[in-house]
Amino acid sequence: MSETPTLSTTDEQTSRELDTKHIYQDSGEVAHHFERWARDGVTVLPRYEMPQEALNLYAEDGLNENLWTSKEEYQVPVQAVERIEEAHHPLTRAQELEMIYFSLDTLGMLNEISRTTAAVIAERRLA
Amino acid sequence: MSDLLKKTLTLLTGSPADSKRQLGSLTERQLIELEAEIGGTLFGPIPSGHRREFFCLDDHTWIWHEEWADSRNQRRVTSTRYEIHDNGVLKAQDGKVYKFLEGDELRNLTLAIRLYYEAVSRGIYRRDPMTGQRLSDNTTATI
Repeated sequence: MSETPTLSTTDEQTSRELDTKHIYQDSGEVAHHFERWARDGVTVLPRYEMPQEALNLYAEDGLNENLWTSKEEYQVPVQAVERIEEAHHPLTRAQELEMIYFSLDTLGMLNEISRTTAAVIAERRLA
Repeated sequence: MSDLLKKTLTLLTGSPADSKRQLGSLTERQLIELEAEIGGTLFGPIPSGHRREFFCLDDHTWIWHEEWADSRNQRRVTSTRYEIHDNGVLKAQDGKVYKFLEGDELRNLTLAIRLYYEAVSRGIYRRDPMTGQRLSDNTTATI
């Protein structure tokens, strides 16, 4: 049985040392341009000097809302998932009522009990 | 449908139309007994050897009654009365005044009462609890 071939870690090409000398030279040239633009009154803000809040993804009103998504857009898939869940597991009547009664306060529940009791008595008398 | 066929079906299955007349001949107490049977099933399966009833006694009173035999085969009975007052629902258990219901316990009672109404409305009085319309004789009653 043959094994999955792997690349040799001692490959001559991959272990070759990268010549970085020209990169440092380029950096010096860029810095030189910045200095000249500054002398000429041109304001160019290098990225590493940008205000911290401009890159703060967690800021209240920073880039995060523009980069990601609004709350309204976020609700849509959540509601869709809920609808799919409901289709797979339809609510029982008891669960439906539980959700309706969840928002009732004590007085609301007392009124509901009185109304329903009156309805039961009415059914009995109509029989 | 011919008269003969109608009579034959009535003999075999009993006429659903007669149920109205039969209900009318029942006393209030008998109607309550019918309701109590349905009411007892609202809280899930009844354990073997238990007898559970939940019913509306009158305009202001609901009863939850449970009987069972304990491990020594002694008969145990718990009876809870819920009284509807203007300022709340008072719970009295085994004759002792207990407390005014609040929070989840009140919500659970509200839910049980509503389910009771819907179940007896369909199952006994043959009415749609949402509309009050009489259910047709062919409609299957769901509890």
